[in-house]
Amino acid sequence: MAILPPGVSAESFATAIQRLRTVVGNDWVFTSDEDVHPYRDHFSYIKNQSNELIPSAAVGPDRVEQVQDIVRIANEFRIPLYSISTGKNFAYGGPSPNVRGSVVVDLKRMDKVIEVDDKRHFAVVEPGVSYIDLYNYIQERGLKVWIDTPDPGWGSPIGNSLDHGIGYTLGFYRDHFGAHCGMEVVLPSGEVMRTGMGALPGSKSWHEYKHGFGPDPAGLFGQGNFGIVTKMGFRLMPQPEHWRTGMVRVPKRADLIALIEAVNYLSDLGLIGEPWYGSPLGALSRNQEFIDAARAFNADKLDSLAAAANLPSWEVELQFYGSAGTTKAGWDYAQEVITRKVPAARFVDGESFSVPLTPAQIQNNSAPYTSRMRRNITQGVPGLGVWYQTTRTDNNPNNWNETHIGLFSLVGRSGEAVMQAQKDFYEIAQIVGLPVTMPGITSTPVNWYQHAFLMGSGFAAAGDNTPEGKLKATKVLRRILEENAKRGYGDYRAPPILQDDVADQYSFNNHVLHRFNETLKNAIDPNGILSPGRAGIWPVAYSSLRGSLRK
Amino acid sequence: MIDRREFVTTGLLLAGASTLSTPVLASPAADIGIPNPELFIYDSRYPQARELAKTMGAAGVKLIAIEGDFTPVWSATVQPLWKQRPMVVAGMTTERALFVLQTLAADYRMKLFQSHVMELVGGSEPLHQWLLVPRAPKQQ
Ligand SMILES: Cc1cc2nc3c(=O)[nH]c(=O)nc-3n(C[C@H](O)[C@H](O)[C@H](O)COP(=O)(O)OP(=O)(O)OC[C@H]3O[C@@H](n4cnc5c(N)ncnc54)[C@H](O)[C@@H]3O)c2cc1C
Repeated sequence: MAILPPGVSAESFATAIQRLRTVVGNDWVFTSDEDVHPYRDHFSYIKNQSNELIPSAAVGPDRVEQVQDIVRIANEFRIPLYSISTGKNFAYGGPSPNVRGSVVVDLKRMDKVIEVDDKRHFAVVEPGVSYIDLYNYIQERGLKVWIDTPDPGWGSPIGNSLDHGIGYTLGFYRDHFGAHCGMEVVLPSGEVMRTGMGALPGSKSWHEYKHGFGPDPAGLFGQGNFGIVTKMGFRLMPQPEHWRTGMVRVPKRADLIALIEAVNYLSDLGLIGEPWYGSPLGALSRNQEFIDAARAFNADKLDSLAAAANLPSWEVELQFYGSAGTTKAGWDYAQEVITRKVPAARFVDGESFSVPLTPAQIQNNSAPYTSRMRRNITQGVPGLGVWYQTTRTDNNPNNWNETHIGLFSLVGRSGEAVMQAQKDFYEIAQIVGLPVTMPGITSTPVNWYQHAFLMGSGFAAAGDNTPEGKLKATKVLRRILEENAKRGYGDYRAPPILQDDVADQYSFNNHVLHRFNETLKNAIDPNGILSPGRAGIWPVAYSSLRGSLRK
Repeated sequence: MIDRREFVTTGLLLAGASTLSTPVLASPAADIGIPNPELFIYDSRYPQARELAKTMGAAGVKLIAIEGDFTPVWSATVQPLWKQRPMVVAGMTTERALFVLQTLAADYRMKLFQSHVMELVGGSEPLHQWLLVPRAPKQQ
């Protein structure tokens, strides 16, 4: 199936492909269906539809100079490029572009770990280095640093952080873009730029002081389309001597407010890693009295049902990194702080391991309670185990709705905000006609970003796997996004088919932020060749495609 | 030596309880010769997979056992081999493991040539019998 970039003739495309071959070699330009297949999104809601975001080709450079040449050729032939690092952005579009017919710049061959410093605590990597590669590099050399990995470890620090991805250790490190320090970027002109101290030739602190001097454009490259990142520095956590967990339980629904306040306090003092919130009351979700109380948001009734079932309303599992002594002191202090705010709180000691951890300690959960926490990711050990919980594949397209499309809305970091979101999401589910039987009164936030809460927007896909069914489901998602935005909830990330919709909602002052981004885009990338449409940023050259996936 | 047809047939025979709704070799590529597998990756929790592993092992195929999750064998065993060159890999695993393998294999110029779900008695997660093959070499 020959797909061409929009507005490019077959002849011109063939010449451009020939030119790309001279840059990277014949072996690294992919045009056949079978070679392009891996760049399709397995999770796509528009799979096999005429508008599926299939690239026309892919090209695999192995060094920066080749990336520069590719960009120059793309400018000459007006070919949209879409750069990926490891291309595993499943649930957010996988490796597929925003514009059908783009040429994917697959950076996996640029796979050097340039530096890991375990005294100054940073790593510098190329885009093709995966979390698994970086972890192995550190382990093989016995370096005393931990990485912060997203759940599937086959992604890359560069790709993941450029989509504002997250991990699970200490707050500072789990915001992957926030933890970057210094990057090298090929600009749409083909020039190479370095941010921060990297702009100072001979600088000794490129990966330590990221601001350099003057405005720092680094943020433009996160969820942006202003350049192709070819190197990036990341701060790493020094290997702690000890890892410890503990469970906190509070009896009443309203206790969530004080619990979150206390945990925020501990978190912002840097004493705990990611807190894992949950509600054991999910166990009552088939009990009619409970369902009725939930529908009425009747806190007293919910409390009495929880008490009768001998279940706490909320729990949070905390984790501590440090020495045996400091983690113990941290856990003791956490109990003190939480008890001050919620005298009825109860505590259970969890696990207490010295580092390095054994494989069993990484994989097992030997805590004396049921834990939601997946050990390996809180201990910076990348894996692929999450795929054994959820998957959707070519072989089994019928389970397409069993996994998430990745809609997480930002809610305020307080108990009041969480409970309000539960109400709002229930109301929205009803407005958009989802078959929900009760509000998600047990749903809890994820604290992936230290200073923010995200909550799944309560989307339960109807099991219609036909193209029409998927189209309908996509429309429902769009409605949910609209309703969310009306109530002040925005998403942190989205797959290409929803990026225009999410971008539209960040509309303060007549979409000035969006207009600002597009003004920059048109100035920096006049031919609009780099990832047009990403994050809803459409250069003039492709602006007719804005919103085209909504049809 | 096991040929591709024999691999598939052996697997099916050993699967015993498998029910086939589609011809196993329905792919248009069925007539293209495929070399013997160099690796057999199997989920050792399943007796059917262990049985087939015995046959594969006896035929000199390198065996790689997993228990659901592919992570433990990826970096140490499989990735170093795939870095050398694409190869024919046969397997009998759950679909979840196959998804992971197929996705990783794509990074090493391999593709899923064939996969067949085997319905097992007892309601356990179905096993897939599959074959990954190198993608066609580049044309100039
Ligand atoms: C079950 C499941 C669990 C998940 N868990 C997590 C999780 O815990 N944390 C998390 O963050 N995500 C998670 N994800 C989402 C996703 O799988 C990961 O974020 C993954 O790491 C992203 O893929 P990648 O690292 O290969 O990035 P890539 O796919 O390489 O990059 C992502 C995007 O960034 C841009 N980009 C990449 N490289 C460059 C470059 N060099 N220059 C310019 N732009 C570039 C492109 O637009 C690209 O599409 C999960 C998904 C699923 C399905």
